[in-house]
Amino acid sequence: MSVLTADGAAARQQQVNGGPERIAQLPRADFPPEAQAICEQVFAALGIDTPDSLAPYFAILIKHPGLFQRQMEAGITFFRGAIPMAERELAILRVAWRAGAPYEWSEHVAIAKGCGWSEADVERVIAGPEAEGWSDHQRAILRAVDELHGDTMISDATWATLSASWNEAQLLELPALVGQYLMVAMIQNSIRLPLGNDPRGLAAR
Amino acid sequence: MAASLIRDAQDYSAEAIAAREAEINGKPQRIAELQLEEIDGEAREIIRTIRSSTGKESDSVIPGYMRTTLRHPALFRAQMQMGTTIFKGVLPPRERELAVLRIGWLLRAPYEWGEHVDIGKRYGITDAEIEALIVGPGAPAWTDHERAILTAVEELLANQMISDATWATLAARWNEQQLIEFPMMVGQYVATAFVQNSLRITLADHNPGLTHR
Repeated sequence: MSVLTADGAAARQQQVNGGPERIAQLPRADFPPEAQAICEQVFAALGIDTPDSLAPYFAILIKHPGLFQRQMEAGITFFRGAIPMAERELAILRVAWRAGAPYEWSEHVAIAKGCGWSEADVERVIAGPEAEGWSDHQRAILRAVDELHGDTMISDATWATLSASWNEAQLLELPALVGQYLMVAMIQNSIRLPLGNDPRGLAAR
Repeated sequence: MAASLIRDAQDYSAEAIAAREAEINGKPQRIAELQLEEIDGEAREIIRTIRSSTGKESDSVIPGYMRTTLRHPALFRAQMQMGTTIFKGVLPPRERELAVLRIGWLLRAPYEWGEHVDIGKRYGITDAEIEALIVGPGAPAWTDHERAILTAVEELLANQMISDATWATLAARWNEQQLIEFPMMVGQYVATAFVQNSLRITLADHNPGLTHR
């Protein structure tokens, strides 16, 4: 199926979030000691105290503590990664939109705006790489997402454009980043993760 | 309703396979692998730690894929640790490998497919089942549970979500940890294919790519 249109977003959101979550959150009181210890490690790596109540996504994933830890470590690695954060968020938004992922989309609209992207920029991510107004480099980032999502590989032309601005670590990081946030979309959609801070989901701008 | 990772035209003729392999591996790697003497102490320590956790000899040959992604040590560490956790995870290895092979095939990823033909066979997947994995969930070889695993792979790749019917079949056999691990495992191997294909990672000598059986 082709890329979601703004009109199709409501139906997609119903498909993902129209039913109850498939795996219930683990109440804090029921955390086994291993889960508590892993939470403290993860939040220490983030430089913050373990919050009293975890976001629903974490309160579900913590049922598999080892995987929760790896997922959080990977997320921290990308957040502190080689790709500049505004460019990283451009890629993540395009992934989340293509994946029809309401939770990931709305969460990263907020993060992208914190990186300086405007509401109009968010609309342009939906319109895609061929929309007016992107720089060549920005367009290549969006194209790389579309190429990975469509053909599991970045084309020579897109790679060449990215190479003009990015070093090897950044080039290496991009396909891994796109894969990581696709993974997050797959798990969040599959467990029907309830929408978080922004209940608009795919309608967030 | 999401965009699909699976090509509309599923052409697996010998010509189409050869064209795909040429597209990916017909040119040199886009980022060169590190030579052994370029791998510094920190990187060696990461490799040693990961290998000791999987029971491998720490000084055995470091594959070219690892020597390439080591150019980004933090990413290398995170991905290897995630990979190890999934490899030693809660899904039965044979069931995991059925899924990985179907992912590698549908994404037409020569490196991933070829490596996992060998890995899958170590976990009991037969030659006939390798052929059935190419056919997909409709092949007569599968139990209901195995068919649900392969269907879930296709749903995740095509729609980035597992359907109610498939989830219900999986949940009849798997516990919550396994149900959480499965879509993340699929995502991990999609990410691996993205990196291996995009970097044009050279196939190892034992790996003939998509023609491997």
